[in-house]
Amino acid sequence: MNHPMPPETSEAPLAPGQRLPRSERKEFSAEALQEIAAIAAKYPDKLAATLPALHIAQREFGFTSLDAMKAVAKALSIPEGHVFGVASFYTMYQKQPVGKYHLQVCTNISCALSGGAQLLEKVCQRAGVQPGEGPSKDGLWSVEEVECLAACGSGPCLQVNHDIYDEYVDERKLDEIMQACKRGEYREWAK
Amino acid sequence: MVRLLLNGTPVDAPEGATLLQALRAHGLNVPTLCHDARMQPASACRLCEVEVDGQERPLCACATPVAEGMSVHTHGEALEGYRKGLIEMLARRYPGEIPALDPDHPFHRLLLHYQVPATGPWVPSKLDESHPYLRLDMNRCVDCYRCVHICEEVQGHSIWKVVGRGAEAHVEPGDAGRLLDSPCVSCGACADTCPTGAIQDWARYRHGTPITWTRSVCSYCGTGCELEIGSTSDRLVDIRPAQDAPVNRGHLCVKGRFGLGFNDAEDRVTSPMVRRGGEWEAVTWDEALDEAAALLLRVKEAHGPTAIGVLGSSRGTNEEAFLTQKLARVGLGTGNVDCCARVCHAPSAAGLGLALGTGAATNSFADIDLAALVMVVGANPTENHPIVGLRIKHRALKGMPLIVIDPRRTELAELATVHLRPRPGTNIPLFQALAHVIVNEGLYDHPFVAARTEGFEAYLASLQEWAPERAAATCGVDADDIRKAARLYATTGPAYMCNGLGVTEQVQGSDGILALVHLALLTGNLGKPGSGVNPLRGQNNVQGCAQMGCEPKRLTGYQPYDQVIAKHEALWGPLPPPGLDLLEMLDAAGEGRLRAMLVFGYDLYLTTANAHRTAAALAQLEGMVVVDLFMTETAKAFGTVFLPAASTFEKEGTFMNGERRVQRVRAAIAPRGQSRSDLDILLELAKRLGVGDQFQYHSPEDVWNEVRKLWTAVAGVAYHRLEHPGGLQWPCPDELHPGTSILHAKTFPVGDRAQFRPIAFHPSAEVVDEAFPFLLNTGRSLQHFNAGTMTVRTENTKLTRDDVLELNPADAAALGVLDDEEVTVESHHGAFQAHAHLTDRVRPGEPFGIFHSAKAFVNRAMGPGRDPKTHTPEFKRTAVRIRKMVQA
Repeated sequence: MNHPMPPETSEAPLAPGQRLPRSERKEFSAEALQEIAAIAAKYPDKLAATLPALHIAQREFGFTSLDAMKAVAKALSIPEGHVFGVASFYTMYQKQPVGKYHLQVCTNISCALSGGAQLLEKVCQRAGVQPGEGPSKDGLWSVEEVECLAACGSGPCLQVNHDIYDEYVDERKLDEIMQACKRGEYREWAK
Repeated sequence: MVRLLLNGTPVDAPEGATLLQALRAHGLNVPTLCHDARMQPASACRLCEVEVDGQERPLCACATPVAEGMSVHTHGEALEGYRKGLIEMLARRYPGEIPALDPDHPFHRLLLHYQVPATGPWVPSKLDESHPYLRLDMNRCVDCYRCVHICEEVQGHSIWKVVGRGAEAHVEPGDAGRLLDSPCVSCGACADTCPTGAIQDWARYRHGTPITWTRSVCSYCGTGCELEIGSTSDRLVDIRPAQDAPVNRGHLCVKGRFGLGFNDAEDRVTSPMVRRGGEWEAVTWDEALDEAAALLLRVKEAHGPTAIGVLGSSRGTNEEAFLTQKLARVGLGTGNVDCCARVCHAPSAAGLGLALGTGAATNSFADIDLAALVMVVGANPTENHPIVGLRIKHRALKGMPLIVIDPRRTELAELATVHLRPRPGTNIPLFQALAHVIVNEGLYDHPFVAARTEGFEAYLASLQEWAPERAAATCGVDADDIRKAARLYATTGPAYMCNGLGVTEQVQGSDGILALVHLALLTGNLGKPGSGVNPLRGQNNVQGCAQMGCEPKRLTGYQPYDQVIAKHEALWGPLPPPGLDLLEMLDAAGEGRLRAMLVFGYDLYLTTANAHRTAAALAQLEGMVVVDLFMTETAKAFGTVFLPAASTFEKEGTFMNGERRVQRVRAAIAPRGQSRSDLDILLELAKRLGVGDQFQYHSPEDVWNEVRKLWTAVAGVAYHRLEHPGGLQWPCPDELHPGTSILHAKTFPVGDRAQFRPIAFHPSAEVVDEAFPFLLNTGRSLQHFNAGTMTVRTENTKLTRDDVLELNPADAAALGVLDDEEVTVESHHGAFQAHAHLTDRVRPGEPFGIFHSAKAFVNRAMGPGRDPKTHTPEFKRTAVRIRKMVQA
């Protein structure tokens, strides 16, 4: 164990851990640990459980924070570096906090042809945040520009969190979706 | 063997080899970037791709096993073009000016070979110069990920991380920014493997690649890692691990890899000195040696030979230790000769010797890989014997059950299946309770106990007082955990046990070892692969020093007087009777019976418990001759003659590691200044003491050959046999014998049967009360070594503090102490100051003092408690109180 001296100020660029916002939660709940153990038991190699464990972490910690990654490494007894590498590779592990409703707009070619970029602009206007900015002041919204949502024939597409998504989204439909969110008709992020 | 065709030439390769191994064995140099033999093949760089007949696409040679009849083409035009293309892609973003500046890196050689210019930019933000040993210039990174893999696979850490995806993916250290701020343990493996110098040793960056590499043995702990010392004409530059060493398998720790700065430290004394009128004065060798001899002869004349004490050095070679005891016995006529094994593993040697007949590790480090279970008792090997610790850690990470007995939650304890945390000083009840469970639940190895032991009935009766519940209350552990550990140890065989100073540095030290040996005897864990009782020895040659006879009651080979005195006297003439050990010498000095000391490489004042009493005793000496590299605390306070010694890097000989392995030590550079090896100094002293004719040696080999005559266990260990990696493990009675990695396979040196002995528990006199409410434990840290003489003179001081008191946050809160704040620790015997380091790896009420620092001088607070059999002091349990330092 290192017994470090008081840190000096550094002008070196910040490392990932410092660039990333910290989560309040530092460790898994007992239930989550059980869930992860059950998943790990299905595979011959614990590394294979990294992805599902990270999903559980994202749900528990609210987003995939550095502490969430460390908790996954600890829960599976696998190297932290591996978890970090995996988590930083996949974009759907949110490395910073998101709103209660995470609005994801596709701007790939098919959606772009049918107004994906314009939809993204409107979403940003109404939510009051730009993509990658984190949650809006009321904590309700965050916005992300995403890759294909697998409905290329019926764009533009919008996805809310992981389970609600819509095709042919125009302004009217966008308002309906956002109102439904506000009324609490949709499941909140990480609930 | 399988037969394959390499570029049309038929060759044989061993089954299971990779194609790359076969190619290299036959001199076919296929380029690689991501390959390192210490790791699993990564097949990432694709440079080693070769064409195999019948395969649609080229295959990576590093990951393809050889097969019968394979026909391989390695350097066709298409392949070479493909390789050049790959290198061009890397070169496009590789900084243009770097390869010419620093040509001696594999990637730079490839650029030159394929005539590819590097054309990328260099940006200052990718430079990290924070670490004292490793310079990071990530502009040079070619994403081979060797650092990431070696950190995970070899060191078992994961400091290096791949971040991002696609073209953005890159390697970063830790998650704290700079490498220095990460939990990096500075083993240097990443720099060893890096093919570009993105991570490289500062030493090589500053001084260039060394011209010569001299193979030798590490001068720190008793693991005995083989290394190569890089030097230019007269400068030590760098150290790298020996790739083919069986002990360390191409790896080293921070001490062995980087701790060489002391050799050229400014305060190294390189001229002989004599104290005149209280002040040190530089003199010639002749003057100093004459003065030393005169002191010893004067005291011998006036007070008799028993008024002289001699201490051998566990840092020196076997040959030097052997001559030290010979000089004491033959030259001075005194049996008062000892070494620092007295304060560490003397109880291990005594306990193992008593029970089995050989006071050394029964098995080898390689047995860790063969064990079904490992039990670590009172040892913290990932810090103190990192290479051994890693072997255990790797096994535990792969699911091997691990039992750790330690009051602290060490790195291994965090991986343990069962972690028993006894209060310091309560080993005996715990060990006896483990035996109680094993015996009473019938889990012991009945055939082994029946065939190879005796005294079982009396032992059985003596165990009954320590039922798990009673032991649990005494030790502060859970009775069910005791049961769990006992069942696991007894039923998961073979079980490898290793122990450290947490067992020996107690007032019940020897009994503790005996109790552990009993556990191994009960479960039949002796004499077979993957088992045994294995003390982890602290210094490079502490095993050797005691084994060479720097032991007051033993002669060469740690052999008892009565067995071998005739053999010795036939060669040396009449010998004095057994003498005083170190602690007895100090007692005698205090009483005026001991008047002079000759001390080789040993800071006994700093490292012996109860420093105030040590000082009072040493102050009464008429004189002390100190042979060392530095003015140690002992030399400063009590030395009268100082003889400057050569370091490990500057001399020839052999070391013996903690698994009885004798390995060659070789000189890489000439001794600094006027320094001389201990061996030279011993020969000069012998001449002046009038026994020069008995000390006619022309080389260390001559000396060793005399050892071989006196101790049959090493009779077969000839110097010329030590040229191959790993040397030889004794017993090795003749020159055809391959050496012995596992002792006691069929019988014990004590006879066919080992004896069980009843053990009684005599608690320590150190007890907590209202005035002294804490139980202080002491020990070592990863970055520093023993008296700190060497490591405080290296840049390891930039990695960590050496004066640290680990304190539980709850205790700190009650005392109002903040992290890194200075505290005073007081016992009945003395006090010291240290920086508090708040950590919950120590329990409340059980602070842990790191003892390396002369600044802190922890031993001032240690008490007079001793193991009654070996006199090893009680370093591991002292009642203390802690106060916040008042700011002046």
